Amino acid sequence: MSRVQNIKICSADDKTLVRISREGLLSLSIEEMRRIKKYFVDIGREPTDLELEMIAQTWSEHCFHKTFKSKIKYTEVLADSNPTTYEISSLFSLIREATDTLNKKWCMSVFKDNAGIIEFDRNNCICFKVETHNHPSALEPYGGAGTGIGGVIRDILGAGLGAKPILNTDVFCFGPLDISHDELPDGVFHPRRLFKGVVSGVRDYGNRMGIPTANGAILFDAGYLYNILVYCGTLGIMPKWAVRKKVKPGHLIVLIGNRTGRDGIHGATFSSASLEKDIPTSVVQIGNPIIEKKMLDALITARDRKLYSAITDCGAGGLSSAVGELSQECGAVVNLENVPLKYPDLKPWEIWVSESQERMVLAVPPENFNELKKILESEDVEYACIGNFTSTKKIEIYHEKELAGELKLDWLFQKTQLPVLTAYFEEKKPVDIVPENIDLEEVFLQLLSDPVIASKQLVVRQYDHEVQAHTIIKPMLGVDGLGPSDAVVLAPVYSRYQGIVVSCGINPWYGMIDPYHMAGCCIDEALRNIVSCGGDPDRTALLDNFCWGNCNDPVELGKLTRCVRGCRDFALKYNTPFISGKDSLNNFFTKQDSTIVSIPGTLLISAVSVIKDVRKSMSSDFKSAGNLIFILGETKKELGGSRFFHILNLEAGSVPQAKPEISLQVMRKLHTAISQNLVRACHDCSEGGLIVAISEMMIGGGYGAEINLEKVSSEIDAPVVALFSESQGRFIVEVDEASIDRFEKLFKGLPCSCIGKIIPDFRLKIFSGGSQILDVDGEQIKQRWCGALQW
Amino acid sequence: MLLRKPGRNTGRFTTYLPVDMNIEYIIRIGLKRNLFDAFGSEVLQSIRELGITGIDRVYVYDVYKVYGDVDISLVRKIGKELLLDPVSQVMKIYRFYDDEKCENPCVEVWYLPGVTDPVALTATKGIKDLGIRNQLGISCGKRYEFIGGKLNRKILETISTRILANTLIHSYTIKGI
Repeated sequence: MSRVQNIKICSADDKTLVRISREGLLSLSIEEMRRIKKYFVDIGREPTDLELEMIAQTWSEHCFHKTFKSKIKYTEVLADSNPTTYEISSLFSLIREATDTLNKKWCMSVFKDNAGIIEFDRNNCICFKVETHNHPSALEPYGGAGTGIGGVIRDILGAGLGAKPILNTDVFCFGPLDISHDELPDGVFHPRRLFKGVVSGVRDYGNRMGIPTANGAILFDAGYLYNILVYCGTLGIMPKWAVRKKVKPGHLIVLIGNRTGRDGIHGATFSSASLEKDIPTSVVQIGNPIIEKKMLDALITARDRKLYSAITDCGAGGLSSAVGELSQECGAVVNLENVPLKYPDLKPWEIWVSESQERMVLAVPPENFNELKKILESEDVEYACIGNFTSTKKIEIYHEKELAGELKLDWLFQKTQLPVLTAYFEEKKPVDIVPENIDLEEVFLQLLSDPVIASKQLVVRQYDHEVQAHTIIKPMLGVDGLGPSDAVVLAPVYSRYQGIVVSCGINPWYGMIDPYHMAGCCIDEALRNIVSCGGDPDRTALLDNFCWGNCNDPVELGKLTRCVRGCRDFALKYNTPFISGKDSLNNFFTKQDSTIVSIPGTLLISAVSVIKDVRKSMSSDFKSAGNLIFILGETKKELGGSRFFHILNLEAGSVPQAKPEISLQVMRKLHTAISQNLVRACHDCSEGGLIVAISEMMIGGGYGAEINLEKVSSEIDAPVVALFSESQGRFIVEVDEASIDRFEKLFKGLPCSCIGKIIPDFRLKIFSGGSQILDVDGEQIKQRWCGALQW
Repeated sequence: MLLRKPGRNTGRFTTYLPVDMNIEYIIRIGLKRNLFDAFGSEVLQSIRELGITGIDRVYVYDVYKVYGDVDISLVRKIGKELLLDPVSQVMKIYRFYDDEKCENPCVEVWYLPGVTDPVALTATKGIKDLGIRNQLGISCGKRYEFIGGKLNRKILETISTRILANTLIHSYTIKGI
């Protein structure tokens, strides 16, 4: 009996087409179903189940990024202005515009491979990719997060001809940990369970693979109660000759790694839908890092012997996506009965779109197959030759000699006429208020215990950040290993001092006020973190990851569009190209009463930079009593979206706005100052403002500080603004007596002010208006900051 | 009974058929009682966060279901030489159907059929590395034993669904009530 089923669509009406898409979990729109119907009417036959599945996977939001590729009619209403309408060719083109305009020579491969690739040194390149695994992690936090990091590691293995992974990053957004179980609807896990599961999943996969996890962030907000966000990143290093891949007709299609089962079926099309209560079991994958580690070791050996000409990972869409993309320019014949299975009785379409983890597809010249086999066998990696590439420009898929699917690749991957989307954004005029009569000490201690600000050592210490012995600046540092680091610094080549700096920037609360300035702030923060640790701002590349809610809603799409415009504008102004990115849309939850709850639009900016000499990298902990404390950058009345207002439950204030024209100059000078050994410690001012930054430097160094707020800014008279404003582009810097003159000379004409000094007594003393307004014991500060986040 | 068929010549793999499920042993491995059970304490803390009080301790065990061409001596060898750390753990082996009378309330959690079970895959390889060529299968689960408190099926259902099992990928069984 045939195992391939024909689906009757050629004579189906619209209602039937919609039903076929819905019942098959294909997530195809009626316009797309009509296109498919026309194609098969033209060739005079009905599609098979496999063909429909392959089309649905290829055209899914996850794989095709329809929203980012569509034209958008965008109307923007700024405060005190008339509405302006823009015709935007696509969001993707906006992002791409910044990279193309900057046209950096050191960008080796951008937006076309599995990861962005930049030059590292004369012989090597770095590739970096950040992915999201939100829906799977919401359903099964341990497995979902583990396979999230497993998937992005394979992206790095599949970039160019494969890079060696040397660093993992992770950023998570959860609902409040203290929410009552009774407030959660059916089908939603408690944030604490999700938190534990996600952290454990990333920890176990990364640690077992022998890759350090050493940079990230964790955020908590009620907006993530129904849909958590799990960003996983991996950075790899590869020889320059391995940047390009080329598939040639006649090369064998070799599948290596794990066997194929039903796990993960419909993952790609599932990500095009919202989360609802009833979810099929098959979308959940469980990872097996041991298999992936063996595959990694075998692949690096095979790459260095140049045994294959192209490689890609089996991610969303499985073989359908991997073989489809590799054969896009030529064609392929696949024999599905050769695919190693976990258990029998899988239907051909299930084998084709299964998202079983830890699998990769290689294009292997036939003469190299035997040598490749030996390497794979020596590392105990399973493999199978499942077909070969052709020059027919079509993909033919057989199962037990029966044709299970045949599609023209030009048609499958053609640029389609996507509908023009409508987007709308209206700016709200900010109401600036300065809270008065507050208990400064109480608010300060509350801020330190705020889970967003508090130490993440509970999580960081579960990750292995030392494995591979490249890590120079670690996530926690200082005398007791309790101080936070702004970024991680790696020295990836053992015989050399040249290094890599990796950081991130994220703040959805600014985006709730204005997504444009959120973009500016995230880029500024990621760059600040890079520069704080010694990275070069002019040798920094960015990655964008947008997680958004229901983009069918013009208002949500308007916020996304404004955010993307911000990314373009600020990337240009900061001279930093985007090299890779990803969007995860449809992060919304449909309640039983049909109301839709979207997440706060969230942009993660990841940054990677190069440092010439890791011995010149910088840490944030105070080094010596008596040294002076400087603030670089301007402090303004920018409390909108701040953690200070969050503690006070205030929804008001101006959102911080990045000032690249000043910030970039400050960053360049600071990079010079660090390179010239003029700086002893450096930390950026971010969430919580100046007082939190100073506290973290104290905890790291075990010293106290005296700060005079009048020196922070001549424009500000209210102490709470000086203490808690989250103005961008600011750094706290420790300078010793001997370097002061050179340091001040370097920053002449830029915002730079000495605001106090380091004291031996472990206390924080704040002065304003000639009197002491705060005096807090350092041990109390440490206890509040270190002990707030618990399992 | 035919348990496997040879792999095809296109690569190095074999396609497995299900093994005989009639013979089934459970290997239960837990920490020695004098040692601190960090995992059990974490589960107990989560239970208390649910507002369920009265439980004094939770013991957590790894449970392995071994089935197919096996007898008790072979299962003992697998347990002792592959799965047990004799310094910190104790092991008990029993036939699957002999275990219905539990001293204390328990919940057992297993992966649903078809869900990837990486520990079982590694254990299968370990069994081969021990030189055992019998046609057998293994699957892995967790067993939670509750000491103290007035527990009923409803409370254990709540604990199971909110803390111990994700019904999307797990099945769970309540015992000893």
